[in-house]
Amino acid sequence: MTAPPGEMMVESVAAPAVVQPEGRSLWRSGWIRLRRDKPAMISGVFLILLALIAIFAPVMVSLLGHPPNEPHYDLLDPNTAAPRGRFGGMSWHYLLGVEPVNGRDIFSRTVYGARVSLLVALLATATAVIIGTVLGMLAGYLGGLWDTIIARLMDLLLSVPSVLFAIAIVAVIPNKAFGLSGSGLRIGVLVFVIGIFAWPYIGRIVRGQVLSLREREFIEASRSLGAGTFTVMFRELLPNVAAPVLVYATLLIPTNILNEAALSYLGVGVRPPTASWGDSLAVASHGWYSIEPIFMLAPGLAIFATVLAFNLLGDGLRDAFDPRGGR
Amino acid sequence: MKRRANLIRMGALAAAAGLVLAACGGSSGGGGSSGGSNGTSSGSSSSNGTSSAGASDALLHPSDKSGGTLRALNDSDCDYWDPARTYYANCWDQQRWISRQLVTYSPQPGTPKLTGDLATAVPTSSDLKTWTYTLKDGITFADGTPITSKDIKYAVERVFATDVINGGPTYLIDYLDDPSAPYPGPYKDTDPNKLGLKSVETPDDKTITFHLNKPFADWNFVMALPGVTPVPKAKDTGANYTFKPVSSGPYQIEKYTPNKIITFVRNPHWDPKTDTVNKALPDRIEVTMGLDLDDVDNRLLANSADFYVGQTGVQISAQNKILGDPSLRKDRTTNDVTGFIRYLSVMTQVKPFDNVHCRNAVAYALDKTAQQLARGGPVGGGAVATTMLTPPLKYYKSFDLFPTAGSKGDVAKAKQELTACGQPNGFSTTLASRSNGKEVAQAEAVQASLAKIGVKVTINKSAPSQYFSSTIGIPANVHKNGIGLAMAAWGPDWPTPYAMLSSIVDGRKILPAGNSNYAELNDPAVNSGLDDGIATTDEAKAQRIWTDTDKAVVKSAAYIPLVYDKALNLFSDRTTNIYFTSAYGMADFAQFGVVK
Repeated sequence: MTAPPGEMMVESVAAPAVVQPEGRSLWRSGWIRLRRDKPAMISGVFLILLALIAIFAPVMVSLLGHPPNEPHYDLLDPNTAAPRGRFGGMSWHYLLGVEPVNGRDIFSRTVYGARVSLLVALLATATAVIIGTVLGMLAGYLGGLWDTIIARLMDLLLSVPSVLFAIAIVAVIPNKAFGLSGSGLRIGVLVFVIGIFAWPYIGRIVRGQVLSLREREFIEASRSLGAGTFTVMFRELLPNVAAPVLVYATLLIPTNILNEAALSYLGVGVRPPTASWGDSLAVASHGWYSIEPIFMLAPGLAIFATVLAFNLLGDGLRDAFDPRGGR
Repeated sequence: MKRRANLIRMGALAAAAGLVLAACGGSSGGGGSSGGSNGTSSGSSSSNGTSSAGASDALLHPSDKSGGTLRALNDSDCDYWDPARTYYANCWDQQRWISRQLVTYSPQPGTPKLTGDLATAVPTSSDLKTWTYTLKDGITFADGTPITSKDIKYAVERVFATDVINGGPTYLIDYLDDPSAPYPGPYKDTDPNKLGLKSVETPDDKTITFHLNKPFADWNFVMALPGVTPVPKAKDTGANYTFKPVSSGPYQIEKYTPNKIITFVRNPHWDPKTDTVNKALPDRIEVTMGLDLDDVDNRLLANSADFYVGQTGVQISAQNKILGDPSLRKDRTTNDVTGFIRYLSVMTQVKPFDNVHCRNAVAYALDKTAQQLARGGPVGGGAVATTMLTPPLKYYKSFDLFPTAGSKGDVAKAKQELTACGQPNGFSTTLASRSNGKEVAQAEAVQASLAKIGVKVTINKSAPSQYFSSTIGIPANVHKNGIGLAMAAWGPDWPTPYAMLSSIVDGRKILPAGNSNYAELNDPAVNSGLDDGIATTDEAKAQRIWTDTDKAVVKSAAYIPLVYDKALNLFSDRTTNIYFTSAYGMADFAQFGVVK
């Protein structure tokens, strides 16, 4: 895995991607460095597996579990509402045991929970990236009043208590809105709420990058050749902020996973009985974890592993594509 | 998610009640001995809800030895220590230490029975509108001044000053005010002695007569509420009285630090010869507040404290320990039906539940044992319910109008009802529930039960603070959002059918906001039953009327009883005289001692 010394050289000239319009060598050298980062690569593989599990959840559950919302009262002790047997009723039929109170298969619910967590986190991050990049570039490139308004808006959003805001929003949203209903609507609301409070993080970074880039010669050159504002922003600036945006988006995903879990835990996540990790944690937190730690371990470890993987991958990406290019 | 103290749900004051109501819905009941806390409950229809130990009829560890310090624990402070303002059941129970009323509950297990406390006897009234009480001799406040009928009248008047004295029940206003000339309360009274309320007469210091504006058979129960505790006018500090209420009971407050600790020492002027109710065994009482509930359980298990003031039952981990230890279970716990009911509200004004057959289908389809599990099983959760009146209430009688095998639901019968309703293939509807605690598990169990008959349920969770006030308490919201079903709970302010039913089933009390007849049931049989029941003085007739009314409510299938709450409560190994009183739906704190 040792890279030839020449590769290092390429990278250091790539940062001023001025004369190389496509900036390809930046991506290439980054990839080569990323490949040497074992924790990042292991995390990447884990996340691909997790994505496959989420996508093929129905198949996995039909092979190894039971429908996630199916109650199994016969597996519970009628006196205590806790599962019969040790370790939360673990068996070959119920790999991680069953939930107290209603006897739902914990394995199935954890697998299905990955769908909600990943879907919400990825969509919210995409929302944040799109809004953050566009507004960040506008603020940085246009400057003046635009910059003042957008920068203050970002300050404002960063100071709003997002969880309280989310609880309030969910409370006033009716059963049907924006052509959505049921869990689809809740997921839409979660994506909106999480995304709207996450974009300033991206926006600030993009604005800072653009502020320094816009004084560079290649921008001057482009403008003097008659390129309009729009062209300069999307043809010249966007490719140059793509790397830091990718890095921070990867680091934003785990934050958003935690946000989704927190909101589900607080009861403003997806509608029951849809499985989600935060909701499973809420069930365990009603005292059941003290009887069988598995109730908290299953969703807890799922959240922990996913967040850790995204963070390690994000760190690896930042090292590989260090936006400051100082390395 | 900490559970709130076991609140008594208020009935009549629906309108102002937005916040308060929401807070009140929260009682999370604990366990209970379904053996029944009174003679009539033995027929409880619970299929598997019986638990043998700690039967509530029993008086656990009787003792008359005095001395020692009673150490109580609580998660939160009382809403108020002003007797006229508190509305938590456990605070009413704690008020027994420092306050006395005209009448109070007889200190014995069994059917709720009133006895004279400050008054010599429990009066009767032929027209149910005029009630006269005669005070005992030798009763005094903690400063030694005698308690007169004027002190009681003044206490009643304070309740009318709702801008200063608020938070507590308002029955006194409902029955004593003159709507054409509303009484503003003593602080704005033009009478020089501040005794201007015309409907209460005090011809001498020993006599007080109430003239109600309508007949009310339960009046003596209202006189047992802490709001009627005498207040000396000279020491009334209005809104600040909550910090230093003047004692009329066996103890007085020594030191009070809100949300931390309150301690009580003996009231030197309390004369046991005037008090046949309070045992007053401990020399000192300490209530430590602001504790985590698992911490409370651990301290009780370790005997470093005597009891939990909230009395909503132990947490899951302690419950498991107790159920695994028969001697602990037998000697140190009680498991009583609290009087609180969990029920499903089926909205009669939301299609297709305007058709009684669609409501019947739900009543038949529900697996009530799943509801019991969702609440925590037969010990920690409760017993399967088939009536809206709960076992500890006066006139409770067991029946089951929708019997199903093992209370697990009857799909065939439910489908017949669906066909009769014109919906043979089922339909979709929305179920509202609070977003915390055990109610979501209950909602999911309803969803699973109804899925079996093709009724597709979407669960709509709301924040507890707005659930009763806005989500289901505003009929227009219910209609607009198509909420066909709603999880609900209710506990009476005193243990009679009227207190239980009048706020939740009376068709004439359907309010545009702050409504508590969530299903908008307006059944002439129910309405007239409420009127007749509260206006009768004949016990046998009252029994018949209340059972018929209860049956009419259940038959409407607008309200489907699910679970009678129970509480599994733990006490230290030295606590004596533990028994359940239906007055507060928990143990009677006034009888506890700590010397065996």
